[in-house]
Amino acid sequence: MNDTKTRRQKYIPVGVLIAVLVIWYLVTKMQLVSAVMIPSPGAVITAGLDIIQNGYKGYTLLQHLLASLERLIIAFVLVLVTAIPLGLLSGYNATVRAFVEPIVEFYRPLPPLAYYTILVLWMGIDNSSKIALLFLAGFAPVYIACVSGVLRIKEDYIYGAQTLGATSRQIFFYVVFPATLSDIFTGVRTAIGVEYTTLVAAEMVAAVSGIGWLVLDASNYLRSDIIFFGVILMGITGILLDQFVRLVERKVVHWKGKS
Amino acid sequence: MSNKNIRKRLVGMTAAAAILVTAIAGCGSNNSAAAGSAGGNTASSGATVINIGTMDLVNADLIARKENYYEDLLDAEVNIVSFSSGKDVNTAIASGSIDITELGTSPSALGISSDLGYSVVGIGDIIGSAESLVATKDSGISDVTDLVGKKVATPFASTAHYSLLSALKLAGVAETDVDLLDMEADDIYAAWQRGDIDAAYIWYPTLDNLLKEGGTVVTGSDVLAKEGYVTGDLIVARDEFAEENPELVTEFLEAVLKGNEIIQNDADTAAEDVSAVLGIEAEDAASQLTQFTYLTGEEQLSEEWLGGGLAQNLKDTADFLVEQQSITSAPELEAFQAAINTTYLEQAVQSLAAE
Repeated sequence: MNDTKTRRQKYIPVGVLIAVLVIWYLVTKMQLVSAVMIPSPGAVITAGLDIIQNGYKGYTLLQHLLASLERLIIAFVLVLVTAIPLGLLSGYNATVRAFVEPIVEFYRPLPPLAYYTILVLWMGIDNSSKIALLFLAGFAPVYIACVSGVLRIKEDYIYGAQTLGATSRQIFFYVVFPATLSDIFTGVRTAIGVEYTTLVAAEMVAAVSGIGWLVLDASNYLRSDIIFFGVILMGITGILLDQFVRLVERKVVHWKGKS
Repeated sequence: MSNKNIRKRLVGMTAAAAILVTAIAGCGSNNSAAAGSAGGNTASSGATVINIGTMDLVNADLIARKENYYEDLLDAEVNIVSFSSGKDVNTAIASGSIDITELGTSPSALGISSDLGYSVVGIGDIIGSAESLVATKDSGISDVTDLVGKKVATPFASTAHYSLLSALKLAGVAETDVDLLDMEADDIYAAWQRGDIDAAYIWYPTLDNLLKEGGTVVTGSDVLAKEGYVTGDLIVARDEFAEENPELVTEFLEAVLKGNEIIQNDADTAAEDVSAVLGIEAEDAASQLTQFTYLTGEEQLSEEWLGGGLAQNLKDTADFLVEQQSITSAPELEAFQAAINTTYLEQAVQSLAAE
């Protein structure tokens, strides 16, 4: 019975997806709303094919995607090499935590657009300010996940290691780090998501390429067909990025979910 | 494990789909609800709300606001909404958030091409040197041809963008040879100070700030107008609103015309009003007012403007946007002629003459 239920649930999203497409098609076909509000699926496909073949405003679609991914990945790597060590240290050492946590807690809830103008003033309109924005957006979730991961470790593990004569250095690398891996990955996945949603904001000022910029530029000219295409493309890319991190997580933290 | 994952993904997709469906359904019902309530308002109480868009352009709009012409002349509750550029205005008017507004010729041509459902009912101003291309001292730019390989910023899809592209075309410079950056006015000022850009095509007050920072004027909209690339700020009204409240559109234009009279006949008051609304020095305001051309009601209605010339100008602008591959196609000249409605302005001129 359970089996049939999951099978049924498997078909529901496919059905919903088809229903959405049909409603979308009908709404535009019957011209219930103007083409600027909702372009027809055909117009979106045409716009998409045109961009795939001819590019958009001097760059190919691949160049736009790569420009965005470049910003995203540089920021992401920076997050990994800074937020994980700092987060683990903060969890392990209350003094370090007292230094870093207030800063992270202060800027974390700020909308990125609010401080982006400051970053542009400091670092200019080139890629550095964009990467800095994405870095800040991604730093907080990873840092916080690392801290709480360390704090959740059963004290028995650490006592046990101490009893067996491990140094605090050994405890850090052989007990704390592996035990928090699963939390780290949760933070990393959140960070990728947050960075990705911040991408459009980062490409708002003086960009000439990038998938977020493509959508923004199209909105200048009320090209909703291109906006729809761009948004759908961003959605798919976002899902793929998340799937990729999940795949790595399954390889690295293979014990997750098994107790 | 995989089952769990799939289930999660499915739940996510379903949620996304549900949101989309609601959004689509919402769009349809919103439109009819808005139309219904707007009609109901006028019929029942007379306390209609008129949402007026403004970009704080130096023209009769500022005078009318300072002198309370809108409140005095319009039989409605006046709500003024500020915008920083024409593209936001286009979005706002398309969604029915504003009823009447000033809007540059380029965004207007764009909106009419996209059939956003508004008509040109008057002209706020014709842009002269108030929009210009300025270059930094160190950039070595003295001519439009010097822009090759330089970073030039302007708000895309604006009249300034149109003028910049026209200047490049006139000078025979390919757009791809120049590093064009889409920036709002505030961002341009910051980027200029940091030395991130070499030149900018922009309007007041950023233009003044750049000149004070040592910028030099390379060319301006007054020069381009002589070559046939005229830009200006129009007054556009949402069709649905205008059909339901024709008298409000006429009253709005009366307020604008009265403001124009002050600009033309009482320069001191005009400068004071402008300086008060914008919070700038009266001298600066007075100099600003000389950088535009303001037309009387009769002049606006003439063959040169609303009577024919403007439709051609908008058609040319739209064709230019097609050339830039910014929009896919521009409608025929007739569509632009149909999007210019002079009945309200004619009535406004008449009723002002009768006073």
